Parts: sequence; C-alpha cells; structure tokens
Amino acid sequence: MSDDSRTNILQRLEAGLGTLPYPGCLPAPDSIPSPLPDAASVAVQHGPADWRLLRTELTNLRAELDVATTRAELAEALKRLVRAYGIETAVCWEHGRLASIGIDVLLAAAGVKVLAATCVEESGGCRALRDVDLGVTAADAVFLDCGAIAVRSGIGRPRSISLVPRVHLAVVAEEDLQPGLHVLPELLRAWGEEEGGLPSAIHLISGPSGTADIELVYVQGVHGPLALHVLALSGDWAGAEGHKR
Amino acid sequence: MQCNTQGFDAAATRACQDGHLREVLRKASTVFQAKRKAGFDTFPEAEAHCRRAREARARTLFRLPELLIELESKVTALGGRVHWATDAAEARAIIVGIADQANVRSVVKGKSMITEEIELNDALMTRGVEVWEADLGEFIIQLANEPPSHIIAPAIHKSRADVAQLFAEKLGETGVDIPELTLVARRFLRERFLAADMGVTGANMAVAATGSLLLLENEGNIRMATTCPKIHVAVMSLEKVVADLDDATAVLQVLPRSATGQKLSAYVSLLSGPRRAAEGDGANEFHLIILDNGRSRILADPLLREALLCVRCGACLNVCPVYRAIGGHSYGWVYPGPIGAILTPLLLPDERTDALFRACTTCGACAAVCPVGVDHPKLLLELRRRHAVTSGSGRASAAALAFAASRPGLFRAAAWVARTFDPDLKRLRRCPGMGRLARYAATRALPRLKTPFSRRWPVLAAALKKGCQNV
Repeated sequence: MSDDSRTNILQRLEAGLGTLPYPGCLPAPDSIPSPLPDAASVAVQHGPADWRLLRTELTNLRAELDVATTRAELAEALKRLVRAYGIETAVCWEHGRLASIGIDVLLAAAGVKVLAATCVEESGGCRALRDVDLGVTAADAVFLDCGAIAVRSGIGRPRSISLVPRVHLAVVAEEDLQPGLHVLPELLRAWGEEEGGLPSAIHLISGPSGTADIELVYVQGVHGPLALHVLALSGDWAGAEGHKR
Repeated sequence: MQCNTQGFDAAATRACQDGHLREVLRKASTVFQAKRKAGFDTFPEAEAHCRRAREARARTLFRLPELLIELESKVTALGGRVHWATDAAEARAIIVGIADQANVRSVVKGKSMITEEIELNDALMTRGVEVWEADLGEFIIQLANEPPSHIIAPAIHKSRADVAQLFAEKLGETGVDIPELTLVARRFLRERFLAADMGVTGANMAVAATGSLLLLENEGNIRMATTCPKIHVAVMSLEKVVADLDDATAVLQVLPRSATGQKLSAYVSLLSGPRRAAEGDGANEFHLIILDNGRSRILADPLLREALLCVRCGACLNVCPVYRAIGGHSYGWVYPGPIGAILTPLLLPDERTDALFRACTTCGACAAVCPVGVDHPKLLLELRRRHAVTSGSGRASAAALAFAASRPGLFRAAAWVARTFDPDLKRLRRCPGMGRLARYAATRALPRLKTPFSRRWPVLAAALKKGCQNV
C-alpha cells in the first residue's frame, strides 16, 4: 500500500512541477539561499553585560537567573533555590560540568535527596520522575537575543529530566553564550560532527511551560515544569571543572 | 473532523448574532495582533527575515520530490520508519495498523491540525483505543465534543465558567479560577502521559538534510507525548519538509513571532529518529507519515500553489474582518479564516465550499501580516473566478448588463426607471428572476444610484458662480 502510494505521490509531484512554469512570485528553484540575517544588535561581550542581557530576556520569559562567580556563591544560590521551591528531591544529568562543580554534593548539603539519571532507564522512563521536585541539566548554548537555552539529550542525559520534575534548573557557562538564533544551524552542524550525527533530541527551552488557552489568560506551568531556573557560572571556573562531558 | 462547509451561510449568520462570541473574538484578535506587533517591532531586520523564510518555503515547493526522498532516506538511516499516505483514509489505516501491531491501548496527542484533517481520533477510538488530546485547548474541546475554532487557540470561544462546568461534568473535578482549572487538566493528563503507549504529533517542519522533526509548543504536551510513550507517530503534510537546518532556522525565526509574538515558543524540539541504544527515555519506535491528501494537486496549480507556503501561524485569522465576525466554527472544517477559505476548497474539491472563498472583503489585511507573503486575496479571487466559469453563475446578469451597456438609449431608460422607483435599490431583491443578485443584495447596503448630471448641474453651476465671485 505504502510503496504504491510513495510512487504515486512522487510521480504526481514531479508531474506537477515539471510541466508548469515557475510563477514570478516565487524564487527560482536553483537560486542560491540568502544568508540568515543576523541579530546585529546583540553580540557576546564576555563580561557582566552578557548576564545582564540574559537576565532581561529570562525575566521576560518568566524564568530566573542566578550568576555565581565562586563555589560559595554557587552553594548559596542552590540553597536559595531549594528554599524558594521547597525542593526535597532532585535528579541530575550525568554531565562533566555538573560533576566538576559537584552539584549533587551541594544539593545534598542543602538537604535534598539526589537521584542519579540512571533511575530514568531503570524505572521505565518518565514514571521514575513523577514525584521528583527538581531536574538538573547543563545547557549547551544560551542565545542572548531571545534567552533560549539549548539542551542536548543523550546517554546519561534523559530528556525527561528537563520536563517532568516541577522545577528545571539549567547550569550554563560563559562558553555557552551565543549572540542569537542565526548561529543555530552552525551550532547544530558542529554538534552533529562531534557526535557523528545529530543527537536524538535537542530542545530549545524559553521559559517554563505555559498556556493561555482559557480566555487568553497566561498561566505558568501546564504539562512541563512550573518554573525554569538558570544558574550561570561566571568567570574562571576552569580550576573547579572540566566542563565538557 | 467532518466537513460541514455547506452550512457556512447559516453558521455565519448564527455566529454574527452571538454577542458572547463576537466579544471573545474581538478580544482575542486584539490581544494576538498586539502581541504580534510587539514581536515584530523589536525584531531587527524583520523584513529580511520574512523574505528569507519565504525563500525557504518556496525552495521546498520547487524541490518537493527530491527533498521528500532525502528526508525518507535520512529518517530511515536514523532508525525511523517512513510511511506515505495519498489520502486521509490511508493515513488512518497506517496509524491504526501501527497501533494494532503494538497492541496500543492508549494514545496521547500533541496539538496538530493534520490529525484533525484525517479524523484520526475516531479511527483509533472505534478500535477501542483511548485517545487524549493533550494541548489544553484541544483537551477542552475534546471534552466538549466540539471542533477547534482557532489555529493557535482552539478553545478560544470557551469562557472559564464553561470550562469549569465541563471539567466538573467530565472529570469530576473542577476549579474556579483559570490557574486552578489548568492544574486540574495538568493532574489529569499527566497520568495519561505516563500511561500512554503511543504519542501522536503533527510536524511544524521536517529537515531533509538531517532527517529531523521540528516541533513548536508552549505547554510541554508535545514533549511529553514524544518522550514518555514507547511509540511516536508524527503526521506531516508533505509540504512541511524544508531543505536544511538553515531553512528550518529561517522559518523558526518568524513562525512564533507571527503566531504569538514570542521570539521563540517555550519549547522547540528537534528530534532525530527514535532514542538511541542506552538512552534512558524517548520513543523506541518513530514513524513518520507523509500525507498528500490533495497537496500534490495544489502544487501542480501554478496560480494557487502559493497556498502551500503557509506555516500555520494563524496571523491571517486575527486580522480578518470576516473571521473576527464569525469565528472558526462557521468555516465548517479544520482550517478557518483566510487560509482556510483557500485551503478547504483546494483540499476538498468535491465538497460545496464556494461560500468560503466568497466570505472575504479583499481588504488585504491577511496578506499584509503573512510572514511568508501568501497573497490570500489574490488566491481567493482566483477561486471565485474559476467557480464563476465552471458554475456559470452570473453569466445571465453579466450578459444583460453588456446588452444594455452597448445600447445607450436602453441603458439610460433602465437607469431612469430604477432612479424613479428604487433609487436605493431596496426593491431589487424582490424582482422575479434576480436569483443570486437578490441574495447578494439581501444582506448588503448597495450604493445609491446617482442623480443624473442634468439635474445636478444647476446646483453645481450656482456653486461655481459663487466661487468665481469670491475670487
């Protein structure tokens, strides 16, 4: 059934395109693609200005940003987060950056029971996280023109950790900063080359889940996390981490 | 969703008399337009981005066969399965077959118009499969057993009181305010996500060069539907493929801004095949259904293929004076508003859809906001022209006018009679044999016939004389 349909559909498309002139309103099929316009108003400054810009964007998206320049600040930011959201349980990605800053140790010190990412596979997927309060991931890119973070899933980095727990914490570093979405194709190609093809899932996340489906009144938190918190590692963390997975 | 386009006139009349609906539509269109404007006002080089997005979509149309073959090859290489469906019945049969083979008992669906188009829910439910729409708006109208009324906000016509009553009746749990009602839906649907055997979504785009599927949303329902169940089925109308990541990004830059004014929707998922070995979650099986259902016929039409550029942002609905007066249900099928008035007649050539393309003032507001430059009025006028040619409607009156106009004496006499007895053309509709013209005149204020120049001249001459004296 499907083979015949495939042939029929492709033949119809070929016939439809082949016998008719191209209308002037559309560019010719062999025209060279224009470059993506860049967001000239945004550039990565490699300094505090970047975090200010990111804070503005994240605030517009109803997400929070904490910037930590030392391990003490990081521990304090995590304690504030735990208190603010009443976090009792957390699950963390297996990721070089998270391991190097010892996020599981810091969360445990704040009184949180920390689960390993392997619990997702061992317990049959998303169900393992139904009662978990906090999901911790790293981010692979942060776009300053819109505040979106890019999260690459993979082995030890389940998709559900940024989705099922009621709060998502994304840890970003200066090296993740990107000026705008116009660099996305280049980034994706680089990740594809790094991993021998694109990962099975990449998510661009811009704020917590939300809806305005009833009377157009915005409500934060529907099916995904009720809150998104971004924790930025600013300055020289090289001594404390290897960063890369 | 079953087609009911032949009831357009009656449904539109009822909608116009519904004060609550008019108020809801007024508010919605105002909010959406303001958000879109804010989104584009703060968008550097917005016009260049829109041009680039249009270019990406146009490139798709001209390379469709090769891009679909490339997509198929890449998806298959990633471990996914590609199915081709010529029509809705075949698409339904394929999905039901996948469900049967895997003994699927429950399905969660991300918001998608294409699955409405193929009437998937009924097909699955008749096999005893439980189907849950997971987008909040879609969930509400599923409970109410109604079709969506807006591309972006399907339950826009429902008030919080309506939803509260609906939840109480259908779920046995309800709330008073909107956050409370949202929480009720979250709790109910979360259990369905965790228990579902299959997730079904549409596709905003599919990237031929990488075999990736691109899905946009704000609620997280699509992420849940593609992450938790073991099987993910994506239904894609064939024109949604794009050549590469550059073209996908070009469309991504304008689509959310045009839909809701957001720079990016809360979640953009780029999914490349099923989950890999040793990954903890994601669907083990990925099926991509490539659906034609009339699109290849549209592509073969050089004057109307432009309709396939549409990215379903819904911006044309919010500015359309007709949609704002009658809402989405009046259109009688899946796609409402200006784009619906074009797509529905093209996708359903055997149905009576001529009322849809006449429901347009040709004001051009839709074309002005379309991020990929679809010229809706031009396409609607072409549909009207073709209908007039094939149905022969208007031929008799046009011939009568031509006959009179070529005989000045007869024309002046006819105009004199009309001016004398019916200067406002109010009695025209009662004349026997006026047929369509009488129906047209019944709901419109026709322009009054002008007084003959010979009778207006004394007044004009007096005014001129007075003006000259003043100089």
